[in-house]
Amino acid sequence: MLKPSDMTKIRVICPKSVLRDVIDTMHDLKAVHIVDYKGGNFFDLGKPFEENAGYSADLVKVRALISQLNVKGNGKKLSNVDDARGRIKSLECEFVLLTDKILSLKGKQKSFIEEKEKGFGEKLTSAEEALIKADRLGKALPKEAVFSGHIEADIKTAELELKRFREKNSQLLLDFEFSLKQLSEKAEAPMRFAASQNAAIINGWVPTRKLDDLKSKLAKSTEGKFHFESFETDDEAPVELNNPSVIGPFEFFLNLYSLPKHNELDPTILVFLTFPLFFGFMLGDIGYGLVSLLAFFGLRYALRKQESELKLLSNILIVASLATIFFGFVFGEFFGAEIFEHPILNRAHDINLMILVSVIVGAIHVNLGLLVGFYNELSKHGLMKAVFAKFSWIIFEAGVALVAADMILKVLPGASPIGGVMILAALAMLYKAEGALGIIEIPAIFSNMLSYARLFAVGIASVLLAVVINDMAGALMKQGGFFMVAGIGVLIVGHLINLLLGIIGPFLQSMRLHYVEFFPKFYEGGGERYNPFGRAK
Amino acid sequence: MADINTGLIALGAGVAIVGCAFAASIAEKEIGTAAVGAIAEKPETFGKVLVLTVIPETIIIFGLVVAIMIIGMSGGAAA
Repeated sequence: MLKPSDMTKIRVICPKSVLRDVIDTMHDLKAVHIVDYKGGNFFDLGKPFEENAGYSADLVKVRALISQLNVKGNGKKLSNVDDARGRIKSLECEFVLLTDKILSLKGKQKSFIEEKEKGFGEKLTSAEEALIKADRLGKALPKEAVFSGHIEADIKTAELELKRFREKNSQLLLDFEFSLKQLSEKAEAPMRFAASQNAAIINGWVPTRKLDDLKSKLAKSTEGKFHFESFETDDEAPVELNNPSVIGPFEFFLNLYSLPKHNELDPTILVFLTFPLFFGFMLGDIGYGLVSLLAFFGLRYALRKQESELKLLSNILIVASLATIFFGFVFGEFFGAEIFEHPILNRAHDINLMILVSVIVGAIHVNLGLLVGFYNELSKHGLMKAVFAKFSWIIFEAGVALVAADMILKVLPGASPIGGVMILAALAMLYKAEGALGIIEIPAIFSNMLSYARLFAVGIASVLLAVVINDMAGALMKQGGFFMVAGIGVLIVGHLINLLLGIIGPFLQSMRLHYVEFFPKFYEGGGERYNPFGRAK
Repeated sequence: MADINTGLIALGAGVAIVGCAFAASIAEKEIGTAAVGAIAEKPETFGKVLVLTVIPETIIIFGLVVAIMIIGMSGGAAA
């Protein structure tokens, strides 16, 4: 939970006769992160299997059909792709026939219209009009009018046929694309390995927990004709984050920023604790919290069949909505109206207290970041470096606090000299650890803590907007009659807009607080994403 | 409530916010332009680019804090 999954570097060497089995096994297991062979040294790159050319050609045709028919969706794996080539060819022919028919009909229609404009005097706008006119005048039906009507009908039937063709075959096309893509991946895989005339060498990483499974499955499928090594190395392993299902969605923030390296703490759980708190503090309204909770439960239910980023977001926002409801009780707000006589904190009136609380929260969060940074430096570079680089900040803050307590607040007389010494010691330690650049960063820590004042600012903006909406609606409703309806309309539209702003704003501001104030205190990032062979992208 | 001091205090708070609002909007305008260009080329950068666009919000928040302090320093007379 606090560290990425353990990875082991492996090497599989096998004769080319069993290479296909090895590739199939690894693809099905979806666990090996292959390290592509860069070529040179002693071996060449492997050659793809012969069937790859066929798969690639079919894949191009299927993708062309998919884009021309404008088919969207996800494909599933087909069990049998042998007749794929024939099916695709016949689908292609059918598609070409249908589109050609429509094109030729439209061409005939266009030339007919041109003739009509040049030729006969009356402008016949449609077959029915021509028929009626001819009937009334007792003339014989002009051939052209009937022809025109027929063309329209023919075009419509042809387009309908095309639409039916699309609906009948769209899922099939998507399934073909998915299956062909997987087969093509497997057939191209030898290009990522080192190969000699009769053997292939595969380098990769596999999560340590799946190591034995991989080994036994390979032994079974190749009947023992392979050589397997696993070894300790200093190379950078790919990173797979390892969090329980409730905290999992918060990996969204790590994926957006960058993944941790293996010698760092995985901060997902910290984000899980503090992100909803900041979000709730800024939105802090029982009514808005309930509405957004229902909305995101609904969104999650609607997306239950897919795996997408939007689903992660809906999970994150469900947790954040719960925090909003909690803070709604603390602030005593329901759609902007104050429902408690004496809430714990009244946002609109206890302004100075709110700013103080926000900055104190900032101080706590920044120091938490420094403590995590201390732990990271401890595991990377040892105790002395950790103390000099990170703990010095804490000593600096303590020193400033003592000086402030003595000179500004006049609480602890005589503490200034001690504070001054602490400040100088901290500066010296920081200079030793990070040089002059570290000293330049000193004012940044106060700016970072003050930046948390946005918790108060965004919050009060949301509250005041809600109060204004309520007042406007109230004023309208007092006039009675029709204005009641207008008042209710103002209420609904206004609160919807405020809710939308209140979800986007606090979300982005919380995210920003984490990325710009919290992460830089301890996070290095730059981990490579774990991308196992066989997993659909 | 009808003396010039209160009015001047209110104007002072207003100027604080106006200046910061101009600064933040100009900053975000430039960043937003570049952001949309980046998204047009590579849609998966949307999240990163959105965060970058919102970074100048700090400016306007400091403006709000200064405005509130100005009104507060007047002893809440303008409240």
